[in-house]
Amino acid sequence: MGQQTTVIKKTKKESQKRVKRKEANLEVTKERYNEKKDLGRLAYKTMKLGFDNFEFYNLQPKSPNDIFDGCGRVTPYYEQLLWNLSKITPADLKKRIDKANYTLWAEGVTFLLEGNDFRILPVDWFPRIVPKEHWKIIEKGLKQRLKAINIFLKEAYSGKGTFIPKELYENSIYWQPELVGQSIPRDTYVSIYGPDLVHMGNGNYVLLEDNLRIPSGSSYAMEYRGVTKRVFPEFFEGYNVAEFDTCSLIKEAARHLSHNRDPNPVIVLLTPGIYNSAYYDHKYLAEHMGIPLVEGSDLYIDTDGRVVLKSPDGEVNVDVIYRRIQDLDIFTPGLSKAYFKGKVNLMNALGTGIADDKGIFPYVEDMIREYLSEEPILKGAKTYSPRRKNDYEYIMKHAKELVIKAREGYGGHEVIIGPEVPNEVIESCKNAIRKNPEQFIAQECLDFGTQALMNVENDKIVLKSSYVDLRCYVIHGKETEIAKGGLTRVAQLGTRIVNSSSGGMCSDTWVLR
Amino acid sequence: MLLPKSSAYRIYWLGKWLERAENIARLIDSVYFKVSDDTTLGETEDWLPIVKALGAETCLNEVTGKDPSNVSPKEIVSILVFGNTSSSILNCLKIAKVNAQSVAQKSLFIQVNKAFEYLHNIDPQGITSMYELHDVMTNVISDCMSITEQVGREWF
Repeated sequence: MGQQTTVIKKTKKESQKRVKRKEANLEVTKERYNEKKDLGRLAYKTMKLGFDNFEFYNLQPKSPNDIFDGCGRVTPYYEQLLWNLSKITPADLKKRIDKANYTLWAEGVTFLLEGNDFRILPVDWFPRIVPKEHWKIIEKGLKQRLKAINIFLKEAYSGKGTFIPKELYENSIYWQPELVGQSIPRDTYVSIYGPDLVHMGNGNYVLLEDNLRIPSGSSYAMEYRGVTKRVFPEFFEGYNVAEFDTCSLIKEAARHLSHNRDPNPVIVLLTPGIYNSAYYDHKYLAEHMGIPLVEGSDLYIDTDGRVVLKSPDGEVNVDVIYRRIQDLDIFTPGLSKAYFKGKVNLMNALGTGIADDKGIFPYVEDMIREYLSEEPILKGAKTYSPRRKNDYEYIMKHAKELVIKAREGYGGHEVIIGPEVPNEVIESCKNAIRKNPEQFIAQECLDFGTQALMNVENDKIVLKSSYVDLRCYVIHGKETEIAKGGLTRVAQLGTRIVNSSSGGMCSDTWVLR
Repeated sequence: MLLPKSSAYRIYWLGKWLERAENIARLIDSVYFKVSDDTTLGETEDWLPIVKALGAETCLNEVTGKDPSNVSPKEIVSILVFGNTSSSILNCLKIAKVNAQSVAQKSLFIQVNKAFEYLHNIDPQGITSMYELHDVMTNVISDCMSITEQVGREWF
């Protein structure tokens, strides 16, 4: 009875605090002030919001921010998190950030640099929250998109042609002529799909890229969740966060792809090796899926054309390869031949890169309309192809306002963000387009959603807004499933490029249940 | 779970480098039992047989520019334990770490990294006596043994 009374008292106290915070929020709405100018940029001083030990700087006032709405009010789903954060002192937070970074270092969540040195991938420990209702839209939209892409790939490799100009995908470096006319197990070309989305505010998510070859990074998201739970357990108070697990989904999808009727087919993860920048990702997934992590030299093709794994305990035939390598034959001669003969299955299939090609991106929404007779749930960023006359003229006229991407570039390389680069770069880029229009696309430069980079400065917890995107992981096995969560990539201050290879950071992503 | 050939190869080399680190630590630690005053690092003569046994004369000469008989015990310890040479314990642990990094099991990497970080975080200038050095070497030996034990438990 006594305990119950305490609980009720506590609840009352909490609700009183909540009311006070809401009142403080309203006060801000009324005042809508920008009393603190920081280099001419608008700053919301969150002290007035009832959190007196930290400040928030909105460095991209034009872009929607996930944490604060346009009036400076905290969005409902971040309110509790800021409250949880306010209970930590700046000095304590600083120590914990160091501890969290050290944990990554000690557990090997690192890249290998030259000279046997390692470095961790920089992390912003302030989690990104995706509310349930937003997630429902993302889920539906991505499932729809993947379904259409798989149908397109089937049609493209049937050799009968598609509604998309043939030369567009047949000229792609990812086109696999050997696959034409081949039947692919369960018609599944793409088993693992890693699209990049950005939030435009109010639950409107826009696709920037489809990653259909070997999308990476889910292990980092799982690691960050684990470390956040250990080092910042208070963050989770008052939240019901969905578990993020791609391993079991990928393993299930691999089982589904196997020709072997054995319920436990031999599945391996094929890595290019320790010097690959995503090696930690490969290692983590193999360990957590309970499958061998193999290099090309661990495999050979026997006289019957089957793929054999060499092990000190003996040799075993491989049924499914979860490939994290682009060129199969460099380290294991004959591997792609074994695949074409149906001796082994691959996830993802060879040749999926044609749909990943940025030249195809503008057509994906039409694929949904054409193959599924549905309207796309998620839209892609408006994309211009210099192949089309009108688009070409538009690009030449408005290059400074656009994002120009090389068709086969990846990882933030060969991306020119018009508003962020000097005019000389724009001019040389225009020249390159004039010479070879087929090799480029241009997208509208979006003022997409920002989140917060959390740090401790001058004994204050400082949140500075920065652009973020969200990489999701869609896994297509017996059913199409989306791992609830993903990898939020946070751009460095002052740029829109979020890729880690271009200096971006990552953060944990919470999908609320 | 099946152990692929490449992983087995790395585990083999992991073991080799740990064995080497442990052997160097044991050799260095033998001086502790030799010197009469363990509040110092002894005399250069106490260290010369170890330098010879490890084949580190050339390396000492290259690093210090002196003949090994003129190198101080402090310099010898610094090079053999912390130096950026193939004969140093820290270097052996660093290569062991790279091998552990390439094996899927995270728990193994954590152990090796812990051993490496322990030594890496010690200030070589702070070691002024055989007593202190003995303490460090005992820890290195014990770390190497426990990792080897873990490898044995997991795979053999």
